[in-house]
Amino acid sequence: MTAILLQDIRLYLTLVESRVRSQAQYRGSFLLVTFVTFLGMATELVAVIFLLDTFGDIAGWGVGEIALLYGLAGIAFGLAEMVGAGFDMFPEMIRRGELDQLLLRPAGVFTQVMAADFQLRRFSRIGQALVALILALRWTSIAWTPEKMLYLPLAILSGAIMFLAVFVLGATLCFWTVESVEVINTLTNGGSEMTGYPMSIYHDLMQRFFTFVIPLLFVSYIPALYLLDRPERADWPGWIVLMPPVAAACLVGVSYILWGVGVRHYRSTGS
Amino acid sequence: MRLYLEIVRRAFSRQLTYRAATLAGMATNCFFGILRSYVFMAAYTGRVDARGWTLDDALTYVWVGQALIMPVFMWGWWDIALAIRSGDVVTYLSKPFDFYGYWLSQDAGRAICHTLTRGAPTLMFGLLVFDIALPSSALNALSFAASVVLAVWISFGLRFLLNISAFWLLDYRGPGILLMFATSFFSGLLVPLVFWPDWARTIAEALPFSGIIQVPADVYLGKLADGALLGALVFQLAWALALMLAGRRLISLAITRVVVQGG
Repeated sequence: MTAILLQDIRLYLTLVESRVRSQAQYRGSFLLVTFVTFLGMATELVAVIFLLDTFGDIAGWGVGEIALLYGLAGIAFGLAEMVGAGFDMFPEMIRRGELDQLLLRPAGVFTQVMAADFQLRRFSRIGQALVALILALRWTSIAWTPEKMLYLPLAILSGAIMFLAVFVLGATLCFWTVESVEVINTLTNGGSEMTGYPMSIYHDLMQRFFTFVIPLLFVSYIPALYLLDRPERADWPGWIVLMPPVAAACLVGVSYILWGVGVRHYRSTGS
Repeated sequence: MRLYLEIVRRAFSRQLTYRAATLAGMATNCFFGILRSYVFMAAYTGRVDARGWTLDDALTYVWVGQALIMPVFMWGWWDIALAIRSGDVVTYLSKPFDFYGYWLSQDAGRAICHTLTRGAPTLMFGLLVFDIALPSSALNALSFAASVVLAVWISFGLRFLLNISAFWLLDYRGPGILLMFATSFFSGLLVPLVFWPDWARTIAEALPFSGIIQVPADVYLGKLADGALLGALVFQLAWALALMLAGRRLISLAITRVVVQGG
């Protein structure tokens, strides 16, 4: 098991390295696109700051607290997109029949698909969210403890794994319906937008769905509550702050199993 | 003229064939509309108005904005740039029609289709679920319709310029991404311009982007008195014409120095 995992990781890195090398050939174009994307994404953050400037707070969350949510969600989403964007363009691969090629190769399909669309320019989203996080840490006064310092990177990693799992779930749908999988955009891009604000502002049904079905609640809201020592969910059990890694593990486990079912179920489009 | 109407008609029916994508796209527009609505509902707790806007105004704005995303084709359109890159643009340039007129007609057909299949249902969703306001009078509704037409024309003008830039720039993606983000930010889609700090609002209101979402939404909401309403429509028309002139000027420049790539 470990040997297979190591082999897959090595394969992933090799595939990514070759993609990076090919993108590095067009350095000017790459730098321009990365910079422009960074600039463009920054407008999203500026918009949030403008909104908070007028309203002061959203459900008791000031600009620093909202920026913390935004930063956590953005970094997690950016990492997931960077590592696994291949799943995002998977519908295209199926439509063009490219999956057949991958199936013929003597290597894991999961790993190959994951590495299929690695783009260096995606650093710009992570960079932008990192700026938000740094601003948030300046604008809020978090009472830092060693536990919290350990918790922050763990929470971000868990969030990234959850978003990656959602990408995989979306791709898995394509095994059954080649059409209309754009709905999954709602969960990926929509999910990252949603987790940029406190979950408590949304409709009850949405909160339940994003707690028990797709637990995006743990991407930013729960970690932020813990980091900021906010008591607004004091009625919830204390161990809930430890749930992000658990939720991430469950979600990625389920999506990996479903993916396997999908691969076995796959019949080529035939063209 | 008949030729261009025929192009409009064909672009319309071509767009109409993407049924599954229409449904999925609508779901996405609605989901983002729902998220933005809840953000405003939370922001308005404990206050009746902000900068003279009530919660109802803000919610109506959100849904008018979501409904306009597809008619104004916010997320980019590269058809001409791709044709320039592949060299196919030569066939378009050598055909006996006006280059600008041809693409404008194409876009008009697409926009009409998107208004009916994406815009109207999204607005309907907002009306049913979030109980947003309808235009308060027939005059409002009519001027809103005119304002949307102008918004599409402005947006087309910007996209046309961007596409034409591919004659000079080998990689049109950089400017393309910039235009996409600039449009969603400065048009007021992300946050209505009324909620911006005064200095930024003044700048944004002078740019053509505001004519794409903020102005039509203001017209829909009836925020503009008679004189201001006329002023807003003239503002949109002025930008649409200016962008058209710039586009036509550039295309005639490009023709004199066309070096076809890959052809």
